Amino acid sequence: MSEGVLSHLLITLQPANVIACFAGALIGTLIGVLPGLGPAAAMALVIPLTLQLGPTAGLIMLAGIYYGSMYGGSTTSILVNVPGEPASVVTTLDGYEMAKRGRAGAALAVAAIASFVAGTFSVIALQLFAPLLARTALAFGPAEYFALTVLGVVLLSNLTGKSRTRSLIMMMAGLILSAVGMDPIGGLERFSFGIVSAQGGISFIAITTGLFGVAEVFEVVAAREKPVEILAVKFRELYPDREELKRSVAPIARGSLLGFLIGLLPGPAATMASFASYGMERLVSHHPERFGTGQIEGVAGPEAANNAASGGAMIPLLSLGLPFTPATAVLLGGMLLHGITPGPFLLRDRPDVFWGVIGSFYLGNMMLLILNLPLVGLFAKLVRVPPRYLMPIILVLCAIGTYGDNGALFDVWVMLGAGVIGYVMRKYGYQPAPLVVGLVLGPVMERSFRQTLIISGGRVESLWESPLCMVMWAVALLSIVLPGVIRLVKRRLATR
Amino acid sequence: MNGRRDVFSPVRVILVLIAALLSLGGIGTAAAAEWPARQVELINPFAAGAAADIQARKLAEIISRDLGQPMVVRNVLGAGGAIAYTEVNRAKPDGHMLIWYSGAINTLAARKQIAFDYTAFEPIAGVGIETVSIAVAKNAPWKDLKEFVAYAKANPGKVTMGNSGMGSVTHMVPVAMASKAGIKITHVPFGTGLAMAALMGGKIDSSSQHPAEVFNQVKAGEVRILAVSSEKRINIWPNVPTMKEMGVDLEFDQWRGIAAPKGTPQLVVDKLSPLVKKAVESKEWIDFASGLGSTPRYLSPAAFAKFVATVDKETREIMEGAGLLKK
Repeated sequence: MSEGVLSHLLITLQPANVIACFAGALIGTLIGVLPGLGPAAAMALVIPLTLQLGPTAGLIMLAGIYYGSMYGGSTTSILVNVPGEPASVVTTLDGYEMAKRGRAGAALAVAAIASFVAGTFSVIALQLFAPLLARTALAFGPAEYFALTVLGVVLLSNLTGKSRTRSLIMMMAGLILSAVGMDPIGGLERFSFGIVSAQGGISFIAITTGLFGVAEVFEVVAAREKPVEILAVKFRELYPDREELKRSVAPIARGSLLGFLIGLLPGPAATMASFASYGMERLVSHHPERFGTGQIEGVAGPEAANNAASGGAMIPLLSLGLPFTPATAVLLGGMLLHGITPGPFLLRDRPDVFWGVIGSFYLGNMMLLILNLPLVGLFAKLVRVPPRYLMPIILVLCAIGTYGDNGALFDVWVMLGAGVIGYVMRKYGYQPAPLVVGLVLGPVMERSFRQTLIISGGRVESLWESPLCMVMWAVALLSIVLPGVIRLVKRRLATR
Repeated sequence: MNGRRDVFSPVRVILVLIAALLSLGGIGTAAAAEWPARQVELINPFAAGAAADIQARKLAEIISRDLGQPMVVRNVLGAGGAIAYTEVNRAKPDGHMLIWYSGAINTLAARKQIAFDYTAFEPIAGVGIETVSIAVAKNAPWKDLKEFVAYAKANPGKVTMGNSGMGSVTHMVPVAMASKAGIKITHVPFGTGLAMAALMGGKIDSSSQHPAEVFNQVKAGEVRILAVSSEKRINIWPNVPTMKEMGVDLEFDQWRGIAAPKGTPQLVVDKLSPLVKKAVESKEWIDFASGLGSTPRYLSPAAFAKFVATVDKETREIMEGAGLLKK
């Protein structure tokens, strides 16, 4: 048995497959670096090409794009505050601050290492526990999702640790924005004001690119009176020092595990995983107040989490044939086009494909690390390009990426509007990250809430009847009440 | 080694990507006289990876071989297809932007989610029909559709059935089935794939979907199919009865085809229609499509136009009965 596995794994090392793997990983990295065009869209574009490559090489290439994009996403987050992928939004918080302090190289390198470790971890877990975990994912129905999103809102509402009230305002703004467009259950139009492009909802890419990237460009432009500080990057400063590496170990481990588990669930798993990991790192840190000022933990954890999540998301696909995310749906489509049906019998019917793809995960992750580490130096130097050249380029890239996502000019206007609002928000100390959380969780929250009530015929109790739900509600409740109680007890003890 | 590095150099890949992005915007103009003057876009209102999407991609690939220019599938998502239809409706009618046409045009128009209906499009060719299947979990208490209907009759509104979205064909079929059988069931809209997970996890009692979204799970023995909505049984499931056989007088399928905006030159229709016919009747397509549980059936432009008009009337009747029609 194990010998068979090994020989199948070695399929990956056939020259054609290695090249397919490399090409996929490279395209994926570039897709990740460029804002806008996401892995799902890119994979769909490449599908016709993979048909010529045959099933194994074709799927290896598609898979390469899939996990490669998770590597690249962090690059622009760290360097210029533009998230290349939704899952890298949270990396801007500390990654960009590190870049401003001249530690861009360290942040990029740690992001690459974290991605590698988490990617490899998730393949091992995938290989060992796939069938078992797939069943667990099915325990999550609409009621459980609703409880999970509520828990997410509660735990992540204080993501940046500034003012809780302001964070909640931003989160609610995000939830409200997510309601624009056709409602997911009844099909009624909301807040679209007759604009066709708005019927499909406000583009997530447009909002994040605007709030982060465009707002940053405005900020730099507005600050032109001040001398722009360009920190000379010495070679040895390109890479993380020993202390930074040491501090990254635990966050990478926690992020890998958390991301992998979240990846099993439907919805925007990678994005949720990276946010959850950031929240977790702040929670366990001895200095939560330092987050947002360029802490390596805030880069290592989320970057590990989003890569692990993309591995976790492969489990429902490979073992149940159910795609839970847009990107795995394209992968499923690719498989069906090649005449391969994923599901419980994939391993039995086509072990060459199954192990070939798994093997390519190992190989691809290694390739990506080798590809990305030397690029760190190159990318880190980008920060030294004078802003008068760099900023227009960023603005153009943002616009192209946003337009390319749906091919709608409306999205570009939304992006510019979000940029202006984002600039004003910064001036008054409102963080855009909680808004993004609201935007991500909103649709899932609404849909699952209404589905739960439709299924139960309107019985409100159905929202918390299952044990899983009860646990999540309890945790949510505790995390609201507990800080207050602790404060109260401390005060009592102090006055005694 | 050097040659290979050149091919994959980052600059080059970026340039190619930018070129791809620009071409997505449909840059460049040419007279329709020499159709196709450049790549032909097939706008697909369904998500990448869905059954409808992979069929569009496969078909476009086969047609491209004879077309002289590539036929490229582009997904335009949102609002249940309204955005895609609106985009094609507004496009220049020169045959370079087509729509991957389906029953969504009937339901969207009936619900007034688009300001036009099927008359705004020039039918080019019918490609085939796709049945809707009613699935239950492997350990469900109902042996067949008759028992399911009997149970639903005794317990009005108690049985839940997932579908892929309000107003979709997978919603229309259960609505029509319930009204023909005189039962009341609770419809739960999900996205594609998620209804299946909810069914397997025991969160809903049954679900309605196209065969391509469920045949993996059927093969694995996770779910059973009680009936399909088409006229005849389908190839991949010779043992699954039709609704008519089970005493429910309903026959309603999703249909697929290709259409262009109204006003497209006759030349385009005359040139493309035979190519679609050749593709749809090729062994490659028949094997591929029937493997997904879809039934290939070419319709000429005239026959296709008549077919779409008939389905439009039926859809409105079903929707009116369910209170979903907007006047």
